[in-house]
Amino acid sequence: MMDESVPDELYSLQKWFGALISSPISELSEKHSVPVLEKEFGQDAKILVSEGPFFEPEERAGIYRLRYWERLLTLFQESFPGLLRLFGYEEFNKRLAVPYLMAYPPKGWNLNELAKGFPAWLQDNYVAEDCDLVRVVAKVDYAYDYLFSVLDYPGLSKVDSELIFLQPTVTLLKAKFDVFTFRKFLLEKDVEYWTRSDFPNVIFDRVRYYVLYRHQSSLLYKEIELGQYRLLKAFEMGVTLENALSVIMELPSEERMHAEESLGDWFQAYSQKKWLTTVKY
Amino acid sequence: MCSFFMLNSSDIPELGIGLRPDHHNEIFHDDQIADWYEIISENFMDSGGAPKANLEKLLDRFPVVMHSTTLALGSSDVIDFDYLKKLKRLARLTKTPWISDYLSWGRVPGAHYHDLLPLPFTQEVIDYVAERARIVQDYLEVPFALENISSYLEFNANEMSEWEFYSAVVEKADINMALGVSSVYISSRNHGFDPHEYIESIPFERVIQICLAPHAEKEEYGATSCDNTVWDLFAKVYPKTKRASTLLEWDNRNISFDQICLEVQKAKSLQKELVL
Repeated sequence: MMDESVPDELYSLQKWFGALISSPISELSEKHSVPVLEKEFGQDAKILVSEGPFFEPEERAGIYRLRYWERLLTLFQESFPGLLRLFGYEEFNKRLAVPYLMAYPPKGWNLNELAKGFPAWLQDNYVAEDCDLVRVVAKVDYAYDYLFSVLDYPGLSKVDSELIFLQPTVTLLKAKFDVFTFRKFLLEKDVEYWTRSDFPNVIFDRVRYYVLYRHQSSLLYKEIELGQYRLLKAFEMGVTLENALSVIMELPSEERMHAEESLGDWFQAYSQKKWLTTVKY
Repeated sequence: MCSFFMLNSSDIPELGIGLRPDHHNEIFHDDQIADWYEIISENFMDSGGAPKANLEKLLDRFPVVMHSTTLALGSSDVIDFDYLKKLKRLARLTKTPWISDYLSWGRVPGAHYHDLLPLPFTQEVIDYVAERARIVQDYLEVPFALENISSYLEFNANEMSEWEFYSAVVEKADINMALGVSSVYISSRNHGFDPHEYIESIPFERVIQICLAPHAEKEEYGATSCDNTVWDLFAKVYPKTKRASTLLEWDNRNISFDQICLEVQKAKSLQKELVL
């Protein structure tokens, strides 16, 4: 919302400059070269910006546009290291990062929020033969990035009839292949290596359920059963204990029997690891 | 008589360094090399996990000073009080003696550009920014300082020099200065002014912190920071500021902990010489 006391000229200048620096840029890979602005921005720059000892007005304004995109793309590349290796720098920027950042530019102070909508954006906007693989690698990348520093809440103290939530430090994932081993192979080599080498073979053999979580300051994952996945999934949205347990009754019979036998152990583990909270976030 | 939040010189730790994740191990286990450590507030405001654990370790051993980067004070957007609330909560936890941010803008309604963008140097903008700075300091209840940015452009609308603008904002808002000496140098190269004139024309009594990036050797769009010039500027301004606290910083450049120790020794020796 605009500050009512802002001088008109300052507001106009900031609106113009903001539109300029966040407009797409074609020379993303050439660091520290000063890109030439499009005609409309260039003409305004000549009027609004003074000439400097090194650069023309439009070049000086262009520096800020370069910095804007370099900063966001670097951050995005760091947040999605697996995906970056699948695509390489140029394709990653062109097909994924720039279109997403154009649709969802940063709005708040916290840059950790920047990639929040990316897995969902990918679901809607990335359609290709490898989309199952790409989408799940993106989800795992994002989970590692997000879980590293997200705030956690006090664990369960009393249950009663309150809603119970999965802690933000716990993420559930589903994949038709061994995504964590695949991603580990990818990260062992740098981006350039994968632009000239074949990727490890991916075998889509069965559906796997995973939980990725933060324990103290470490990020750990493990494969879990369908029953446990469904149960924890119910807590993602917030559910009473009674309603969460009804999820178990809907499982196929073999899984249901196993889940019923394991419930005590599962809840003991959730309690020890503080995976559940009554705090709605 | 100034009414701004004044600190006694005995309250001011002399030399601080920017906290860098790649040096956590040395900082948490070695002897104290600096009087305080600067943290980037935003890295700890909404954080659990490793960042929170590292901050707790740091606070157990050393004084911490908070520096923020996303307030974007000169923006046309309303002041973000949700952000300030989190900043204030962190300030209470860290017991920071002051908080600094930049004299710049970076937001418009609906967008945050995450850059330190230059303002036009006009009387109208002084009035606008000073009022917002005063509100921020009143809300935080901690001395607030504005730091000058290194900039790559100036606007034709400017009515005065950068140092006149900077001085007028802090005087009118009744707040402090975190004087970025390296930024003065870089901007002087980019805009063709004399950096000595800049640092000789500011209200020294408001300088609570001097920021030095003496190791910056990277060429940035024409301007190259230079060890000797930056140290010369520091030597001129430091004695006039009643021993303002000095921050050594290295941005994102690779630098070993041993190099940092050498720079700290150099700065401490110079501080002593300059006040004798």
